[in-house]
Amino acid sequence: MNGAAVELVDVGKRFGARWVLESIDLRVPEGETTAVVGESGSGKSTLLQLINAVYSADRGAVRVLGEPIPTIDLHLWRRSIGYAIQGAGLFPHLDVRDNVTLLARLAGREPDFVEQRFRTLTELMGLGRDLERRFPHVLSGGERQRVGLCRALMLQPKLLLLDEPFSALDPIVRRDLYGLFDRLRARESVSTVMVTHDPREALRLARHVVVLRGGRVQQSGSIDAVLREPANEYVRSLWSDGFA
Amino acid sequence: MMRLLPMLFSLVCAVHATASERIVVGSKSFNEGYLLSEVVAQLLERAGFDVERRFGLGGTLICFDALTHGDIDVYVEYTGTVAQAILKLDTTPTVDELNASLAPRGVQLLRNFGFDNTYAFAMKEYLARRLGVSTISDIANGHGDLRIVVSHEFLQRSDGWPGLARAYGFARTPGGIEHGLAYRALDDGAIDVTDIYSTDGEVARYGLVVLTDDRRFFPEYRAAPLVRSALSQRAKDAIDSLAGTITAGQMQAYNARVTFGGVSYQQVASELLADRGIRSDRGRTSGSIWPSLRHNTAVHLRLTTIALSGAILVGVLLGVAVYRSRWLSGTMVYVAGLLQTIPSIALLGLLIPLLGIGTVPAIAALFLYSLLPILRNTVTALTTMDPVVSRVALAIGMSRSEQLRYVYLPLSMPAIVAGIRTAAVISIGTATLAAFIGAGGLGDPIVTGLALNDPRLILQGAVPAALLAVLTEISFEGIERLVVPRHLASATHEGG
Repeated sequence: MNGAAVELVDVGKRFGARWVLESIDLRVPEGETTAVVGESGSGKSTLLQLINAVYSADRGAVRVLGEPIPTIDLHLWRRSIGYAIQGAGLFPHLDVRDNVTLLARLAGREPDFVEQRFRTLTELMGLGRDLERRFPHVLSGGERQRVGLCRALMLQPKLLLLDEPFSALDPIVRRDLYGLFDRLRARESVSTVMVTHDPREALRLARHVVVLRGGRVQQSGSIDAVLREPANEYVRSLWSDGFA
Repeated sequence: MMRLLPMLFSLVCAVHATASERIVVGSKSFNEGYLLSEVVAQLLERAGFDVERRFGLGGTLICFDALTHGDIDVYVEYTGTVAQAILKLDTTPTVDELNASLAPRGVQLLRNFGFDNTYAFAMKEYLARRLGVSTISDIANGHGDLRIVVSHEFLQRSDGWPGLARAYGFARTPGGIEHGLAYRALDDGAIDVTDIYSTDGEVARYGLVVLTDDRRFFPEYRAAPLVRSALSQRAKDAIDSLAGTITAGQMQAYNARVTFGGVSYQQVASELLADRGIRSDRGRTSGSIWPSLRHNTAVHLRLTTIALSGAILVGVLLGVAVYRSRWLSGTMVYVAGLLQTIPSIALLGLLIPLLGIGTVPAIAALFLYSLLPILRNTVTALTTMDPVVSRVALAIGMSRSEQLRYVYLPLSMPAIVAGIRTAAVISIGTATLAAFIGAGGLGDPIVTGLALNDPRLILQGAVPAALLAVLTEISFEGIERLVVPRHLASATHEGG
């Protein structure tokens, strides 16, 4: 068994007395995109934040890129994991360039590297140079999300975590972003875990899927396998109905 | 060695004392207090002492505490006040008995100036005639519609209203008023009866009549210098030289010259000395108000700037230190809020036993008042951060200090600066009260003006203080534009 970007063994997480995730066993293959699909309250966002140790598991073991989560200097370790979120969560007091490059500068990267990497990513994501010095509040939703993706990839992470990154966008913008995301994936070799409530988005972007409901994994595997042989009625209904 | 040290110490003290003994003269904040303390100050200056004036201290206990703490060396007190308000005696002891009680506290009364300035009740003459009133008993029995309003201090002292009410059988409790305003209120017909001092210059001026103390309730109030026992004999002798030389009638006249003659109390003090064959070169009646205005403004700004800087440092650091704990930050903001509810003049009074009088307690009080708005705004801004932004800051790998420095603090800056702005304006207003504990500033002319019934003096403090507050508001608008990150204000309105 080699090539697991993320591995969860019997992982549980509770908030107070309520277990939001129960006994999760999961293996995210390296170098590919895995979608975690579930309705709101299914625990999918919590799952994502167990991977970058924003939350710590109350039970079980989490291994990322073959290693257990370290106990010291967590913030340094998190820099090897990209993270983007619905609505982008850009820092409102920083312009586009500073939003994307802040962490690289904090990490002490060479100015040349920072400059070149910023250039590469913004061009890849179709962000014009005229946007560099703009502040988040004047950007469109799609532009913000593209800046958010640039920020997530700035430090060349081995693993990319996406929390509903395309959800708040209108359909046309979303379709464009899917295209840009494809381009990105072709250039950057990065294992990706993407949380979404939209089964069609999972179909469009991922090769593997984990279906989550009520804090439990309903089924996981390649998209093809899950489509061909749904484990239960709920999984089957996903692809026909989507979510309301 | 053990025996040498004390010897050396006393030697140093002796040398220091003879070289130039600096004497701090305090005064109570009413006209006669200013005048007599100025007389004492000029006597000392004439005798070659280096004199510092701390006039207009707000009330008997503030003066007395300042004296026992060594913040001042001498002020003029009244024998009745020493007995009743300071020593809490019911009897009227002799000066020797008083000094026996004062000795353990390191202070002593020198011989009195000669006149008795006791409390008295006064009202307009025509009103007294119309009602057929001439004694305090007359107004105690009947005439319930007379508006009796007395000075704040009189209302509280056992030798004031409480004792008087018992002695005469007054049933109602009167309202309180600043002594300096009481005459004007009498004259305007806003009040009918008030307590006065029997040497006040206003009695004749306002057509008042003093009601007879027919039950002999009021004790003697002989004005006498109250000094620290440790003061050199030479200084005590200098002060003592006027003992028994001023009559009540003369004192009324001197007081009237200050209150109505438009003559400064400094000038009248040197006249008083000249009348007794003592020449004083300190009849300074400076023509221009600018030097004192400049000085007071500078002192005012220094008080508020130091207090505000401390409050910014402590408030922001404290906010940063506690904001992660809801319990701690809640407690801190609550405590700071509690401090804010203490009336400023009371807070100043409470600080005297701890810090004495003058600049230090004034700055401490202003600091405590400035703390709340800064601390509260800091904590609120830090705890109400957009959850998406704070989650991202953590998830992309920023350390706690990096989150604070690059995300939390810049985003909290508008709220923090707004808190500082509020604190600054509060400080500038409150600092005018610092004059009551001898810290100077723009409150100085206000306190003096109130005591001397001089609206011009009051304006000399009030107008620049108000201007300063407005100027502060304006300059903070500029500061906000500079300090607050660009586009932040509009970005926070945008939401999403």
